[in-house]
Amino acid sequence: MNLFTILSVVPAKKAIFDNIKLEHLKRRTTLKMMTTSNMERKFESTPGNSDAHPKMLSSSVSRDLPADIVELILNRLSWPKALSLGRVSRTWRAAVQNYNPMGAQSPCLLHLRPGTVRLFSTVEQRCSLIRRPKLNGASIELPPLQIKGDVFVTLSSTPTTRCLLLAEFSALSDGKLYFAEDSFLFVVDSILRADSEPSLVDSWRFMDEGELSMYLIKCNSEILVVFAAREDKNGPINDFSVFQLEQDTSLVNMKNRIYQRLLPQVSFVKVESLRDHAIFLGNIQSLCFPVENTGCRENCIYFTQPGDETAWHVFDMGNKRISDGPNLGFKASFRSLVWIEPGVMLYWIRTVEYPEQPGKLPHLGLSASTPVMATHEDLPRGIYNQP
Amino acid sequence: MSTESKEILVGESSQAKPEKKTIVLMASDGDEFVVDVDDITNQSEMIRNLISDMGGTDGLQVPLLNVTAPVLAKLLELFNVSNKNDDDEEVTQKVKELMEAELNMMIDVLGAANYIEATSFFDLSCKVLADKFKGMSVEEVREFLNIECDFTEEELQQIHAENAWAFD
Repeated sequence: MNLFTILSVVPAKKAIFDNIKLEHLKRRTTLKMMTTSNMERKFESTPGNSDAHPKMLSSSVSRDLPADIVELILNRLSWPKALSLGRVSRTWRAAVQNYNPMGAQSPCLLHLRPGTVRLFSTVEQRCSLIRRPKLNGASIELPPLQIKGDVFVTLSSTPTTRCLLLAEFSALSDGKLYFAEDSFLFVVDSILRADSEPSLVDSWRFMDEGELSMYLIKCNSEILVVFAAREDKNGPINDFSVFQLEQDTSLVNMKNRIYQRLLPQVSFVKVESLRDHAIFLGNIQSLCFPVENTGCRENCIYFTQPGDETAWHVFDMGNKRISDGPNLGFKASFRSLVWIEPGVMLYWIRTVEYPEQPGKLPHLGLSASTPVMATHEDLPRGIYNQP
Repeated sequence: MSTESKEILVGESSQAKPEKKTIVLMASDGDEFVVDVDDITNQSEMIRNLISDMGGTDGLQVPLLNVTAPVLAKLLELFNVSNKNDDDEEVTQKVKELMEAELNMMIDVLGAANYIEATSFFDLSCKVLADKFKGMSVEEVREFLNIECDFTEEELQQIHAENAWAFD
């Protein structure tokens, strides 16, 4: 019965199809309608009535591609190429703003200087001048804390996605670490208190005695914490440990006191291998992502030694050896090392204001519009000032 | 074309293989195309989802109100090429040829593929265009697509200043 229904219409189809093959109907651009995602609206129109599609008809003159397709095409090009093609037209310019490359891209290093931001690609060895950003600050507040020293803040990723913020208070700090997820803040007692098991305290035992630097990295849905160890305060970094942060996210709902509740839920799992990923350590933002076909080595950590930010070193997670990495030839004035994924514009911490009254909150401002990139004047002193 | 007997069942071929399930795609101008279910669902996510939502293919007619008959015919023809070949080489070549010969048609086909969520074909077509643009200057892209530069002189200078590094 069903078969009959279908077959019965076939002769008509044949005739129509043949006509189409012979007759080259004049072209009607239908792209604009097609690419709108609102399917229902499209189906409201009456078939065959072209007056119902004024957009279709009016666009038949122009051959410009619709913005979303332009975007998808540009995503297949390298960043410099995509950026340069932003001059084609306004549509293309808009599409470049959403550049989000497909496939392997080499990581870029952000160079922050007054008024300008430059990007260095490890592979292309080119740099870019990014326009002066406009920052607009949604902000989150840290829980009450007295701080007298510098604050060093790390973002695991942009605050739009699952994101942790790690604040490390140096000098006279109380040794607390602060984690923020979305708009929620978590505080983890780290160094001094071992009673909140399991917590960050545990991870210290994996490292030998010595100076440690911490890096917080978001890798897909995982949060990694990397510890870089030196033998003494002035010595070179000679070892790394990578931990995966595991936490019970079911507690995230509890808005007000979540950080206290979360405390016992955080645990650190040692990561033995990064597999096809590599980690790029920066002073502010670090990255971890697959490096196949990017010209970078798998299962490695790219880093610089303190005080020498021109030469990169590579720590192999497999054999624990450190070898020379790329030297991008930065000038000595280079101050800040920020790895970013090409095309991912940074959301940035804008200010840390130190409260005059003890016990008041330090204030972190987070920018929240895209594309945004901060210059170094916009960054809090405690973050980018390095020895 | 011999390829059509597989993709678009017409006349005897459909009777010869009555076990083949088909659905009808309706172009914007009302023209109807009978297509093999397997062949089309192999390509189009939208139609695959539609069939699963409808709970079957019986007497299914899919109106594609934004796709004209010539575009749909061309798209189905390219799907045939894609379905017949395991690798993308052949169909990439066909898309390239179409781009060079009839750019307008190619862009329409691209939009239609996007519309019916023919993801892999769409990706492939985007890549063909991306490869084309890779070696082109801004002016050449404008000329190729017949796009007017709609920036003011000031804006152009500003963009140039921002992107200065890219043109070193």
